[in-house]
Amino acid sequence: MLNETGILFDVTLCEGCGACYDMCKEVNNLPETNDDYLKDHLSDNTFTVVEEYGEIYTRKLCMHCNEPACVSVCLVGAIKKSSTGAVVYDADKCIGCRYCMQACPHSIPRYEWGTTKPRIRKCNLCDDRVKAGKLPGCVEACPTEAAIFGKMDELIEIAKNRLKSDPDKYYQHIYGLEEAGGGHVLIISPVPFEQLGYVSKLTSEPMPEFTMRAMEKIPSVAIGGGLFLSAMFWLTKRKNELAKEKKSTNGKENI
Amino acid sequence: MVAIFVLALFLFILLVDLIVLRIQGKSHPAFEPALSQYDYLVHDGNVIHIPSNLFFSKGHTWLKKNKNGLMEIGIDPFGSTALGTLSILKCAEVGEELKRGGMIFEGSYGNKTVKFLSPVNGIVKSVNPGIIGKKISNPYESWGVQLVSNDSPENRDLFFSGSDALNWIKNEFSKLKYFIDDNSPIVEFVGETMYDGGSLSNDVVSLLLDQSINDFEKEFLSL
Amino acid sequence: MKINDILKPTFWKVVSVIIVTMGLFSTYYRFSLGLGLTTNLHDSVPWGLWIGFDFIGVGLAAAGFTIAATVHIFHIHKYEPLVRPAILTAFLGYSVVVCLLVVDLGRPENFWHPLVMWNIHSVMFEITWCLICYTTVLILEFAPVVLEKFKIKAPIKYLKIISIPVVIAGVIFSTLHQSSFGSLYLIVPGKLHPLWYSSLLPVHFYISCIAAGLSMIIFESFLIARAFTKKDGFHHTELKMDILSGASFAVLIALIAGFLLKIYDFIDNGKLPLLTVPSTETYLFYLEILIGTLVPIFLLSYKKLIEDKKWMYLTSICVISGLVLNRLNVSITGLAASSGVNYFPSFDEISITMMLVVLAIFAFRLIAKNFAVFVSNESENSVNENGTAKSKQIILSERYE
Ligand code: SF4
Ligand code: SF4
Repeated sequence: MLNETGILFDVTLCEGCGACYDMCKEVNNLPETNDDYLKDHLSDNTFTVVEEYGEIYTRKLCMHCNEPACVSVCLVGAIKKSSTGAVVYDADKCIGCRYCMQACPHSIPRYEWGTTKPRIRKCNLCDDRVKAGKLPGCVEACPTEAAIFGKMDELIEIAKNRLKSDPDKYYQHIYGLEEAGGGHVLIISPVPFEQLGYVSKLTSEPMPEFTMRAMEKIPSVAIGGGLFLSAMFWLTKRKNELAKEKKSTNGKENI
Repeated sequence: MVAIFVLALFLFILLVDLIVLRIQGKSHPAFEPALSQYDYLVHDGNVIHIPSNLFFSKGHTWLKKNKNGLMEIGIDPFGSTALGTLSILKCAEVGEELKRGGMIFEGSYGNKTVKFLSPVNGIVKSVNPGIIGKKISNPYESWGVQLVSNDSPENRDLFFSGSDALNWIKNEFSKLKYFIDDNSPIVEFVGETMYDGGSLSNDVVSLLLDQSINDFEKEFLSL
Repeated sequence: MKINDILKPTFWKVVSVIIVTMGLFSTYYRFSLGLGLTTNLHDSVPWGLWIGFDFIGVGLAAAGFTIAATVHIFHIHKYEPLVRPAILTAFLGYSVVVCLLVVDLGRPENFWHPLVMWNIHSVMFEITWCLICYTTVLILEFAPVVLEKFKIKAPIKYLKIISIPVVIAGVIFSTLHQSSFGSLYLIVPGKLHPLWYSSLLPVHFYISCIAAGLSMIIFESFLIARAFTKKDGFHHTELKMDILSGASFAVLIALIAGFLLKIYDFIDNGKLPLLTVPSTETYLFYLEILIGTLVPIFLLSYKKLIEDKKWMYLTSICVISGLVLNRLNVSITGLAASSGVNYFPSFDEISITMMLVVLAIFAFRLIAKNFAVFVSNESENSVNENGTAKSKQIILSERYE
């Protein structure tokens, strides 16, 4: 956690210029998808979007959860957490079940529906660039420093300070710190987050916990069930044998 | 919407199947009109009536000890309906000395004749003239023969009564179903009539092979 | 059976051929054009009819383990005649499910990956393995039938020895994956409509599959009685009402248990007010409970009706419909609101699904014809007793071969 890095996005500083949107397309070699970047939405060729809510602009992208639902559900481990904290995807492993899309609490992963060799598509926090010591594309492009990149604990510190120093400007909540167990993208904004199209009613519990509670019962069900069934097998067999014996002795008595 | 669609499709296919069967003149096993005989399998004692004061022999005759010591003997519900409605052709004659296993009634299902055997030893005291040549509608009312006999119908090895009798008769009906299935040369035809619910109970006998009626006697009417 | 008989067109033969032909075209398109063009799935609706149908197929195939357990583990031999049909049904049901899964996978060529790449935290991983193991179990359980036919005696002995552990393993694998289909949705508390979302989802799935699986066997007995006539040389395919009544009773118990659990779940989680919210979800929920639980419970609690084949048939249809509604409600209806789109399957999705179902029915017929799927100890005995069946066999073979 300490060495993991992430993004802090300050909605109040964003001017909706779309530089991050363009840069993201560039570093990921993505084709153009919409003439007006403000009207675009996440898709297999768009990993981040800038959205307009009246005067306010905000961004959507993968939140790079601490305990990502997508990682926990992927049966072949095609989605993994990188050492930087980014959630990355390996298309060669993927079988295309799309459970990750279903499971993501933020509904982030997109799919290449149009091809016969489809991949899951989403932001990977520019893992390769970060590992090579560079900034993620969108952060590098942002002219107003609305998006800043850094170590997670530092980012949290900065966010808290901003909320505290200017309580009138900010809605007192850091989105992404606790939502679905928290993640590596933090957002602070002047208005409540549901007004900006973020999923707001998320538990602070990581999503995989919900499954784990059921999954951890499996060994006991398997062992207990096995013992119970074996016991029933012997018991009912014995009972039938006894019944048979009784019958045959009764029969003899009658004769 | 999808749920409704899939459900509707499922039900629609079942419905089409029913309609197709109807057009083909067949009926679905779930909705085929019940055959009176096989109803006995399905329903409880309310259909097969087993009077508690009667005893039943394995040759499908019933026995009743009268107060005056006479033994009345008649044909039980299985015997009177098994291959169609039975009509009695002949009875043992008054004064005749019957041995257990001797012929006591001769009856016919359609054109096939069967013999019922006397369940006990005894001398025929009287014969019910009203049953000869008639179809049996109520098996317990139409006693056929009164005997003077020393045999006791309470011998449990030879005779059934009460719930034993009920279970046994039910079982006989299910055996009968296999028997009919196995003895009809025109298998296809029987198959269809059974599923059509055609009046099997009256026709079935005409479908049986000639020697089957002997098998029927051996299987169901021997003591 | 002469070739003419096979070629003689009947209504259902024609329909099946049409469905399979359409299905084959759709399959071709699906694999050559990809999912996007041939299905109505998209980013907001990653799972559609195929996955929903997998849930249905697996739920309805549940009799494979319940009947095997009843007969082999609890030694209630009355149900013996149902074992082989149930196992065959389960096997074919799972085959349909596996085929649909492969069709649904975006990268079907990678279907073997879960065998070597593991993520034990994934419910999907657990399901995959249980499916593989359980299909193996089904093959082992059915193998004696095939081996008997070809008179290969040696392996049967070994299969007999391992048969009980195999049945026990089968029950456990079934229990695990039947309930895990419910666990799949545990991770989407925010997306799945609260009428269906519950931490007890796996238990709901498990109980309802028991009731529906048995109902499926009842339903199927009617289909069999309807489809396999004496003419084709089937002797033991009549309805065995006493056995089916017994199974109906088990259905009743499972339904009541499931219903009580639902009530407990609703009260415990304070979901009762949801029942008064007028919405598509609520109506479908009512429909599901009404058709799948309340009506069958009502019908089954009359002894008279259990013993009447007409009502037994209708009841089994009700329970099956209930499961169909429930699984599709969980997998599609319940997620529609949060995805914000109204999904309806495309023609290709429907035709591929129907094709697989038709093929499974066809396979059932074929296997039932060639292997001793329908045997009944009881009638074997009676055959030996009266010896009449032999003469009949000869009659049959004279006429039809
Ligand atoms: S936001 Fe969704 S896709 Fe991104 S890491 Fe979290 S669960 Fe995975
Ligand atoms: S679609 Fe691919 S990445 Fe997503 S869960 Fe399935 S296998 Fe994993």
